[in-house]
Amino acid sequence: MTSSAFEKPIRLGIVGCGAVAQICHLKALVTLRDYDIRYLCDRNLRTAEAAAQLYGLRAKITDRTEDLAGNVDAAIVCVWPRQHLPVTLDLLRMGLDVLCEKPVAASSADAAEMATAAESAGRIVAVGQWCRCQKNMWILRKLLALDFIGEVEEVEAEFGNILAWPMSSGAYFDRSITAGGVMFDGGIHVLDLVVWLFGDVAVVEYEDDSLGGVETNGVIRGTLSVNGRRVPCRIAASWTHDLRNGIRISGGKGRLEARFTERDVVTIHQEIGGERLESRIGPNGIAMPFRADNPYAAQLEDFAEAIRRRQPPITPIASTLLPLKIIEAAYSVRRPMLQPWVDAGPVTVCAAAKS
Amino acid sequence: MRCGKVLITGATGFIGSRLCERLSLHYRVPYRALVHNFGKAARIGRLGAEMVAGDLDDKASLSSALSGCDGVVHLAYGNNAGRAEKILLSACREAGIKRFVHISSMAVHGPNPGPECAREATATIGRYGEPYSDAKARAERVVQRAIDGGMPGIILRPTVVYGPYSPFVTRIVQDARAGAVSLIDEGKGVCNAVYVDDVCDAIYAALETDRGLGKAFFVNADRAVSWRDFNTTFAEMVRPLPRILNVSADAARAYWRSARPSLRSNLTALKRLAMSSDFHDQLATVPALRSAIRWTKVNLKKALSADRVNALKNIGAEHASPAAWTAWPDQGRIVREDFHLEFSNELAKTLLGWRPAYDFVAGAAVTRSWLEFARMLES
Repeated sequence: MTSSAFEKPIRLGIVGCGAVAQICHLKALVTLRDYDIRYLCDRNLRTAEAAAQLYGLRAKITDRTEDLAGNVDAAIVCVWPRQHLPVTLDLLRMGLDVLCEKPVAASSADAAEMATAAESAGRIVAVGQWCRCQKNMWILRKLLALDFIGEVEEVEAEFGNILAWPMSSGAYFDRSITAGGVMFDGGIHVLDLVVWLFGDVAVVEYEDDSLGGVETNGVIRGTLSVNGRRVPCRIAASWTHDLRNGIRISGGKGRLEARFTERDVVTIHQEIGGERLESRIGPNGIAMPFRADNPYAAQLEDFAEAIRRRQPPITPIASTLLPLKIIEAAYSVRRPMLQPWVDAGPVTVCAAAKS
Repeated sequence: MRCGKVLITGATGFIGSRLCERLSLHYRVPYRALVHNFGKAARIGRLGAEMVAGDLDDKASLSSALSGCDGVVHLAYGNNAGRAEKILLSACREAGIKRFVHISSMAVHGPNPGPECAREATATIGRYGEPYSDAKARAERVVQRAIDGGMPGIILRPTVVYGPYSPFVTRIVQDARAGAVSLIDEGKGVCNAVYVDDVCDAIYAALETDRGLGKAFFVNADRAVSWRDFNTTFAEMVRPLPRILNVSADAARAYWRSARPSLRSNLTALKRLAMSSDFHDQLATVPALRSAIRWTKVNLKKALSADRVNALKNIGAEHASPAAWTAWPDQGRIVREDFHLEFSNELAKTLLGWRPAYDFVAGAAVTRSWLEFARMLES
């Protein structure tokens, strides 16, 4: 298990101090004793200073990644996705262990290069796929292993909210900076979760609402291989509206449901004796490699444990290549999503008036 | 005239986002979206639209955004109405803008306009003591002065704009999903509903034609509906059907008069803030306060009974009860729905060569398709 108060804190640097660093990682880090935050690095010094101020940190502020060399043991990478590869390679060359935000890279080829570099350097690269560090997903995995709902018949995973992320530029929507749209955001989280539970997804079809820019809604339909059987699955993500925000697994003897908002509960729906029953299962008695309820804090606990014990983290980089490959396969068979409210309506301006 | 590139202010809003879709997909007019908050730009992000950061308070950002544009559609609306238009128009003059389309509102005629306001030629603009109306009127007056001073501009006054993503529609559906929708005075008020695509078409017409230069136009459907029809059409798309409640406009106004801030309500709000765990979390990011907060909490728990601790935690909770809030329509709704004038769209038809393509039934049907997609309705 994790974080002993007697162990020396890991000296940590954060590279990229924008929204995800401030709202997710630093918020969790200040609750843990595992780390000593030594450096906040951002190409915009004011962003790094704002992060320090927000949490009252006395970390050194810099805009040069190389300042971390020799001064920290590990780093969290929260820069734009297309920068994950060069920044992580730099940090590995400095001999640091790395926790890289999702998506781990803009392509599976970049991610493979990072994985190879990590292996050659003998360093750990964990990836910010926090769904695997949420307690109810471990409960779910246990229930599946116990054959709780019989043969799995269908899997649906969805992640969608109205996008309300603080942004200082349009980089989120710029393919030259980011890797894609919502499929590289909420989409890769649910895809990673499905792959973690069931393995590869054979993509049958994919549709999204891109009209020349990045997609804000995307749906993958495909099949999983579960105990040698083909099982249909559907994976959806949205930046424009709320979706179910969790995973639903239907089986011969009932249905399991785990939501991102109910971090330590799995709901079981069963029909017994003609009556529909709903029960909720918590984490008691189920072994988990972390203690925190907040998945960001749990992920950081696990990263610290991996560094100290030199053991693989819950989200090693090698395990995060497959979701990227699945998105690449999905994009290759893309078809436009039906949006009748977009296409509707003629232009009703009389040509005669155009003087 | 045929506009070149057009700068759109308010491009991430409800009308602005749809206008960007129409410009990209249907009108094929090049444009640049001025974005104040990129967090709201997802809908235009999927168009691959050109986006630039800008702020209506910051003339330098506007001048930079206007570079290479010869038209402006001004949809943005904020707290600095009037001042924002002065800054924008000053930047437009320097940039040599050839067409300025200002999106005003029927609200410039106040919450209770007389029959003379039904047509543009006799419609008056005043000060009404109603914040939204006054702000829109202030902005329009600034634009009108600029037009009088030579800015080639057109003012459009859309009425009640609805369609996919409309806050008017989503409010009704959310209320209906919660179980009840209210009507004001049985919904007898006049709803000058206009579908968002018709407003976009009017904007396009104002960019294209020279015949309406210098004038203001109502942008309205051919026929108004009642607020009962508007509210119940969307409410009754929801299953199970919601209850329809009636609220008198006078009673609602009296409620809001009584709900104005008082010393007591301020004290209650302060107590609620002091007990808020989010507030404690934020304070605890200051290391010196973190231990002080922990010490206070531990000692309060020791010193007080469990009931007293719970009572402290629940301060103000009775005011946050959804039942208490949902019973009364907000003040904006009272202004909009206790309304009794139908606006004419004849001038826009005659001079802009524009025609509304949607009656309410058609507009509601398209809106429904979006509500189903957005999981607000069962499809």
